[in-house]
Amino acid sequence: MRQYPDCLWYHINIKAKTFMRFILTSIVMMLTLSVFGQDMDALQADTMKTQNLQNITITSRRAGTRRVKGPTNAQLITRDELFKAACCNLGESFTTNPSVDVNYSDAATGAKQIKLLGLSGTYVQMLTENLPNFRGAAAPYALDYVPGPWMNSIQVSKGSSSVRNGYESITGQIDIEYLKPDNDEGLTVNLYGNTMSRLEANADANIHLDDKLSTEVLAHYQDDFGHHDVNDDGFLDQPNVRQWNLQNRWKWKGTHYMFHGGISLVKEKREGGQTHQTAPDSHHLYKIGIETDRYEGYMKHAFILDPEHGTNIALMGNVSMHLLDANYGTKHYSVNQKNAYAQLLFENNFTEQHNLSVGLSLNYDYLMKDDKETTPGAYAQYTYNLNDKVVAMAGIRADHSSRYGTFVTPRFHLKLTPNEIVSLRLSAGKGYRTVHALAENNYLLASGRHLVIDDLEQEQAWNYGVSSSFYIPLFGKTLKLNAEYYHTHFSQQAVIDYDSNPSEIRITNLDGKSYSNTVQIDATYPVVKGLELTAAWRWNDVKCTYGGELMEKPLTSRYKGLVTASYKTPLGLWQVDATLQLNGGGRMPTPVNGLWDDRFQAYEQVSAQITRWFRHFSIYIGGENLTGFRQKQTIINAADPFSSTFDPTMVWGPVQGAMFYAGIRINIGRL
Amino acid sequence: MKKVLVLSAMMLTAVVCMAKDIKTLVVTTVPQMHCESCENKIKGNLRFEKGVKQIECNIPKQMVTITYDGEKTTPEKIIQSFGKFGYKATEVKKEKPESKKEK
Repeated sequence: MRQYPDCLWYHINIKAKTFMRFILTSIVMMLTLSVFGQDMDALQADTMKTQNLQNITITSRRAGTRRVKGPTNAQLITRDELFKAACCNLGESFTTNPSVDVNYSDAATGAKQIKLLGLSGTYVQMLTENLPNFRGAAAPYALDYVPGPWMNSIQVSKGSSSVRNGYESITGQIDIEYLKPDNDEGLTVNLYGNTMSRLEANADANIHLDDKLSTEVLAHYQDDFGHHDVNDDGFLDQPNVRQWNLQNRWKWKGTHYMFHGGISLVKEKREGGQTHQTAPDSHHLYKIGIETDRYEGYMKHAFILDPEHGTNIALMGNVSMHLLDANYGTKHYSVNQKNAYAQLLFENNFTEQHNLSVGLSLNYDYLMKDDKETTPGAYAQYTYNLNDKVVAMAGIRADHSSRYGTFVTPRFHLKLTPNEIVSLRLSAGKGYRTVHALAENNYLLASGRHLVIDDLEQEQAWNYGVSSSFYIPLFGKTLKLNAEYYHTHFSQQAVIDYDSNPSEIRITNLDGKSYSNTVQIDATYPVVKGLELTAAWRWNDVKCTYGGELMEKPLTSRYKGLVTASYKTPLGLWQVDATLQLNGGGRMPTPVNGLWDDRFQAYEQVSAQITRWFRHFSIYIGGENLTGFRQKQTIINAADPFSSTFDPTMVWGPVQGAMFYAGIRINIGRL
Repeated sequence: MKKVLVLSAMMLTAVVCMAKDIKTLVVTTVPQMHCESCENKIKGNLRFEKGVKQIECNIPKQMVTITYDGEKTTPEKIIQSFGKFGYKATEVKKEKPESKKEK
């Protein structure tokens, strides 16, 4: 029996005497609850599991994030967690997550970037359904390509990951699982609107054609139609994005064979910069227009040879075509990127202790004639598991790049669980990445500086991590504590240098040191029945050599603090969530002519949401950035957009003030 | 003094609120509960039934314990409501899983 399930709280049968002791404190709670029209019965929620241990009933509220069992430091963000905020898309799904930062990397294009371990999102391997995705030119806007309501879960792994998915993950992996065709049949429609003139509609529908075959359609449409210029700089605060996104998935599930496949297309039009409404006096408008057409297809075949030993062979792969046509003022960039990936793998549990996974892979990237790469590779990974107390996973892979030759990727993970209270994870591993500098950073063309790209080497980095989790019984409940330290150092890196030359942004090879140290502590505790608090703190020490000088990485917060509170009424009909984020200050790129300060200050962010669940629908209202904090100057020299000092790429904080939203999810057929 | 009065009034209100006709119904289901998703389906649907206060699923024992407000619903209505999501429930009589005190 699991002794300490996630987020558990003990429900003690309160006797009359002890009841009196608690009554005063209970009154406060009752008052709060009466707002929601609920009784203060000592009842368990729908999403709570109960276990009886003599006189004590343990009730656990199902956690929105769960630690994944294996030796890697991975967290699973489930739909319960995603429902805590509007989560219009993948980029907005990390509001309540202490590990992942999401910043606007560009005030004019709205390109968003994930940061993990204080480092750029390009060092996080993005996967959808366990297959690498959103490479190269898709990277800057990839977070917008995954609508929130489509997601079943997100798995965030920190540190070097398994070699199974390739050599690319350096700081971690993010794997998105979409809703499944074989889920309960039905249709869900989601409508959303916010005070920044965004309207969204999402739908997912699936049908079981027979007991083995099922199919699913996922659809998304969004339209931003406003002309918001809160800071009055003549530029739209966020680009107006119109996006159509459609996906069709199929699953066939037999006893010894399973098929999973699908196709998808994204069509997006992004218009930012100056408009006649925001800059009526300007004769020559600085306009940003980005048009994207993206087509994807994927399939997975799994042959289960021996279910008892988990022996299976899997063949999987995906192809994508990404057409981008971008105009940044007078600059133009277009690309027709093609990617194909295939993987063949074999897995077997020889005994309960010994597991072997071996495989072959082939990746092909084509961006243009002189920017293409074919990389075949092979890997082997052995896992030793001693009654879940000691799990050691050692993996090695060898790949041959048509551009950089042969390279070897070793990775090692160890998990020790001496008892049910403590677990310790250690990891060490190497990662490599081929840089498609212009494609991945094309939004930098919005800057007035010259974008100079040197002949770049393949990036190489080592990552070491140690993390410990504690499940501490405290006052009849469980305090979940987590402490971790990660160190990443690059031996080769494509450095984006704003500092050496004020008239250019140079993407160049690292000449010197580059590293990141992060320490994170987080704690989760169910304070009272149904109310769960999480507090987290992370320090980032990220430095890199720019023009021969080791400097703090610009636009990176020195620390991040996060407090989230989530309350669900006993039957889970009402849910209230609030998040406070504190982002530390950091360094700005070296100022030019005093146009901006050399550092930015710490700032806070508050968001909150209330959800009411009904049998066939749920409604939610909420707000983001409720303190209304804004970075005052999001665009440098906005008055002269065609000058060399114009720069919308130095963004470290929110561009817009407070935003409110409301939405409804309608459930048809699913019970 | 006023504070004490207000507090007492609130306590009384609270006690009145809690002094409901709270009853327990134990049922088994067809089809049987196999996993967490079966449990979620039962809980996810039953929670919207009028008068239902608490739902506990015991998968190993194949039993669902429903605490309800006897003034708002009846065991028959609750059992009937299982049909809305494709289950059939049968009451288990005289077999209380734990010695629970009525509130």
